[in-house]
Order: sequence, then structure tokens, then C-alpha cells
Amino acid sequence: MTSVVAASEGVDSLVAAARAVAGRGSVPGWLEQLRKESLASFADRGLPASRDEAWRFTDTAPIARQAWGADPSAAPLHARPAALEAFLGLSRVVSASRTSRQLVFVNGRLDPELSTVDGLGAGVRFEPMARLLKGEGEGLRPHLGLTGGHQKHPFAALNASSFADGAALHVDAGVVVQEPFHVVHVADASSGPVASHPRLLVVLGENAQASIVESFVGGDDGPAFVNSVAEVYLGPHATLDQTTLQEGGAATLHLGALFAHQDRGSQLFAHLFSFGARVARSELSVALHGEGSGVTLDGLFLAKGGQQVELRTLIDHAKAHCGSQEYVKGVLDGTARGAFEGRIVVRPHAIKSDAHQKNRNLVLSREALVDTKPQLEIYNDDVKCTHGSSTGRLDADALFYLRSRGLSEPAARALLTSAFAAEIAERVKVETVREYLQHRILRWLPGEAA
Amino acid sequence: MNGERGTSEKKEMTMLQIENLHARIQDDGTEILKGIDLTIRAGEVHAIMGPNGSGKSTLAHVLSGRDGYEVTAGRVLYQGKDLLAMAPEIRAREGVFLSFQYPVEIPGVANTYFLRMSLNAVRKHRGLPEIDAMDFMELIEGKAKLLEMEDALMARSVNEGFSGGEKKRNEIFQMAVLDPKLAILDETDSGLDIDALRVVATGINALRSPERAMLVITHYQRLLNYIEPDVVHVLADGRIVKTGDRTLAHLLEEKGYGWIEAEGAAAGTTAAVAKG
Repeated sequence: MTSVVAASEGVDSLVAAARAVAGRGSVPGWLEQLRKESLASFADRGLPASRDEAWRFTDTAPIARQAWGADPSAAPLHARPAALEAFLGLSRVVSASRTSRQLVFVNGRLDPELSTVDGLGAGVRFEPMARLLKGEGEGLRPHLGLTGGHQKHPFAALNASSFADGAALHVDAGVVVQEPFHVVHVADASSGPVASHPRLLVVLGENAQASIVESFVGGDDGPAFVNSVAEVYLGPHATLDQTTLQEGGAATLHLGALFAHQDRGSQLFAHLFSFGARVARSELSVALHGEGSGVTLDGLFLAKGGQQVELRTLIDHAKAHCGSQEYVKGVLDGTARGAFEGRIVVRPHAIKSDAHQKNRNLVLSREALVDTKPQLEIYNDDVKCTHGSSTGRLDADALFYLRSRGLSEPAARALLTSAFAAEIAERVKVETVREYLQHRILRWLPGEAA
Repeated sequence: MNGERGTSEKKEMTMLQIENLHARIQDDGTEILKGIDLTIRAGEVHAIMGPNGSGKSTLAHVLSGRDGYEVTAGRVLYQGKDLLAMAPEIRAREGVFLSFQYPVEIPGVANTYFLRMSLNAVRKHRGLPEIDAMDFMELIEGKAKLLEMEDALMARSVNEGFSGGEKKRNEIFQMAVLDPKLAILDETDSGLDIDALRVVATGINALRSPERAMLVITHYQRLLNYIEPDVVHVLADGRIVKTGDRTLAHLLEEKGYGWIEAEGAAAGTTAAVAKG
């Protein structure tokens, strides 16, 4: 059947691109090994089947059906003002954040003209990975791949075997950085279908503090496959504020995975916003590996038209006295499908664990669907865990109240929907991002909001 | 009765004219309103009193366009136009205001933001330019003071976590800002302590004007000590069974609704008089 033939076309192109990366220039031996193992693992297993429980809500078939270019040789983005405007105009965060701490990647490759890194104090390094991979790559070796995502996750394996560049942030022990770092990934399919494998590494030393914003933007030019991996390591009592913004184009397939490893007393504040794509799946996997560490995870996904959005979280309470607070909201319109799967594992020795998960979904149309699956695996008695999930429509009394004050029905619906979504946006600490999100949510809404 | 009042001095405009209004609950077909006749002219304040289940709130809901009711007979004219044909938001923009018995909490929508949207929707409908945030704050300042709406209350989400008194003050504050032609106050006194009642009543009295009509729906006479109505109607079993001046409210306070209901057969004739 044609679908079978076509299916291999996508995988073949991805494997071929990974081989090309491996064959390009000199790479430290340890990375070569990592790439080789990862590629073998991906090539062996292929794309996950829809009967695979973990991939039930995300259809990977569109990835298989398309032959993907690694990096169509269009002129660099900074040399094409119209394209630049089209992409970066998508995200006011990007234009507002023309700061001294910004790395912009187009199809996985650094655009040096759009990137600036100035005025970093002592003990702070924020740089493209390609630079760190020269020689023995000692700057990356201690941490890259340490979370082991590539061993468990087919697309993390593909990323490990294929990434050409990425952003790395290292903050040494005791250093506190106030100003946020920005990493922007642009998927530019204007020269043909393109796959990219963005990569981020964040390492904070003991008592270090930092804030990072990672944005994914894509246009509507054509098919783009974005397969991103972020790894976060927090040393003892380190604090990271991490925001991920995913805004794909109409033909974007986005798979993003963040793996975090937390040492004792460290705190992670993760904010994830997914504004949809043809298919978008975002995963956060947090290992609370030190006593007294904690994670606060806020997520918002919005999908309309025929979009498919999934958010998956795994919080592993591996040690005692750890806390996790999770709050995820979803908004679905049109014929969109959304899914939230929140898994919390509390290990046998992880006593005095405090884990809370809350999920609320708003369904705006008859055809939209949302699946939600909380999964609590608790292996000791000395814990405090709660979870709750609800899915509903706009409150009829509230709609009538607003209409009785003169608001049209579409305006009333838009106002209530934006209020529902804004609750998650308001929890973002980076002010420029918070303000941007308020506009972005309004822009997402159907109908006029006045 | 009210007819004589209206024509005695100058020719005041008829604000609301309800004729033979029958309405039932859509779900189960229970008839609640069984032929209401009522005429209110600009400048007048009418009170509708009645026991629980008499149809007071249904009347307010039907007039404001809430879902769930079916009008089976009769008509309602607002400034000569067919009110029942208008969507709820059009009624609001045309100048009808309903003060809710149970104001709805709307998390995440700031009170002032919502009210400015609302005012601009009304202004747009009347061909007026939108009001910007600065001018709006100026406009609401005095009205907020009148209803003792503190800044903190204005900045909070609409009615969220408000006390009963704060919610009702907020309703009348919205009314003051939206400047309606016809205000329907549904059980505005319910759930209010004496201080809150005084503030709310002061606000309502300040909004009495020759251009505005009010329909005050209440179970108790208490509110009418503060807001003196021109006409009092008694509603029982979906009909207006008695109409009189403000002394009727005092009589009800003394004798209770049983006294009216005991008159029984008089109901039909009284309603007919009110209509004529």
C-alpha cells in the first residue's frame, strides 16, 4: 500500500539526515558514541504506532508521510526582512526581547546576526552548543544526555542523533541572574519541508538562580517538523524559572520534550504554553532527585480548527520531602483534539511527598474533544497527594450576565474564554512574556473581543 | 390609578407596556405568568410585591431575555418597540438594565475592564464614540463614591468573593454607569444588612429621574421604606391582583400576603382596572 511506502520515506529522510550530521566534521568521541546509539535506537524502533499507549493521542503518521530536508539552503533569515518580520512578528516576545541575551536558531542552526550575548557576569555562560563541541567538548560532556531521555523516548533519540546546534546555559554556584535568557527556534519551511532538532541545556550550580524563555515559532509556508529536547539540571538549592512558548504554523508538527533533574532543595518553576500546530505534543519529565526539591508546573494548551495538541507530564518523587504543584488548562475549539496526561510517581522511600495536580478544560464547540488522564502511582503511605480534573463549557449564567450588560454573545464568549486562559498566563514571572501572552490569547480567540 | 397619574400633568412617555403576558417554563411547561398587565411611564417607580412563587423573578427574567422561558401570549413594548423580539444585549444597549437577584461571579475579568466594555457596547449602539480608559476612570469616580465602591473592589474580578452587600452595590454601580432608561431591580434587598441596604437605596434614589423608569421587585416592604414607589402592585399566582399607592406596601407589611390571597375573586377585576 502507498501509505507503507510513504511511511518509510519520512523515517528514511530523517535517518539519512542524522547520518549526514554524524559524518560532518570532527565530533568528540563521546558524542559520536551518543549519536550512534541514539540513531540505532531510533532506526530500530521506528515511529511509535498509534496502538502504543504513550502515543495514543498524538498521530505521528504525518511525520512518516513526508520526506524531510535537513536544512533547505535558503538565504539566512536576517537577510530576508519580509520573512524575518513574518516569523519574529509572530512573537512580540522576540522583538521585545532584543536584549543582550538572545540566541536565535533557524531550522536548528544559529543565526549569528539575530543573536546577541553581551554583558554576562562572571560565572555565567550562554552560548551556542556548536562552539562547545569543538575539541573534546568538555563544556557539554558532563551533562548532555545525562537525563537519559534518548534511551527512553524515540524522538529524544532522534534529536540526540541529529541536533546540529543548540543553546547551552551554565550558571555557576552562588550566581544569581535576574535578566531572563531567550532562546528562539524558528521553523522556516519556505524552501521546502524541513525537519529540525532544537536542543537546550540548562545547568545551574548550587544556589544559582536564573530565568529562561524558550520560544518556538513557525510560519504557514509548508510542512515543518520540529523535534526539540531540553535538559535541565538544577544543583542543590538552585532556582530556575523556565517558560516554553510553542506557536506552530498550519503545517507544523511539533514534538517537544523537557527532561529536568533536580538536586536537593532546588526549585523549578515551569510554564508551558502551546498555541497549537497541526500536531503539537509537549512533554515535561521532572525527576525530583534530591530531598526537599520542588516543582511548580503551569500549563496552557489551546487548539482550534483541526489541530491536535497533547500535553504530558511526569513528575517523579524519588526522594523524601519533595513537592509538586501542577496546574494545567486546556481550551479546545473547532474540531480540535486535546489531551492531557499527568503522571505522578511517588517512590517507596519518598515520604512526606506533597503532590497536587489540577486540570481544567474548556470546550467551546460541539466537535472539539479533550482526553484527560491523571495517573497517580503512590508507593508509600506518608504522602499528601490530590488531583482533580474537570472539563466543561462556558457558564451559561455568566454568558447571560455579560449579555445583559450589552456585550454581544461572541464578545461575551471571548471575554470568558480569555479569562479562563489568562489565569495560567498571569502566573508567568517574566513581565514581557506575561504581557505578550495576554495579547496572544486575545489573538487566538474567535470573534472580536469588544 | 397609574393611568390617571401619567396623564394628569404633562404627557410622560410610556416606557414599558406589558399586555396580557403569559409565560411558562420551557423545560416542563409549567405556566408561571398568567396574564400580566402593567404600564410604566418615564419618571415613575413601580414596585411589584408578592409571596414566593408568585412569578416575580420570572417576570424579571422574561423582561431581560433569559433563556428557559416561553412566552405563550401577550406582548411587551419598551418605548413602543417589541422588547421580547430583542436579544438580551440589544435590550441592554437600548437602555434596559436588570439588577440581578444573584449577581454572577466572573473569575479573571476585572470589574472596571468589564464595565468599560459594557459601556462602550452601549455607546456604540447609540452612535457615540468609545470612551478611553482615562475618561472612563473619571466618569466612574463619583458613581463609585456614591456606592462606596472602594478601589480594591473595582480592581477585583467581577463579583468574585464579594459579600452579598458588595455584589448588590456593584449592580447599582453598574446601573449608574450604564445610565439605563428602564431599570428592573430584582430582589435587590435580599441578603443585605441594614447598612448595605441604606447604601444601595441611596444609590437607587440618586438615579431617580424624570427620564428614567424603575420596576422594583421585592418580597418585603423593607426596601420601600427607602425607595418610595409611586405605584405598588401585588403579584399572586402569576397575576397582578391589586394595585395601589405606597400605602398598599404598608398594609401588606401589617397583614401579610394572606390577606390579599383571601380576596381571591377580586383578582381578575383589579387587574382589569390596572390595565384600563
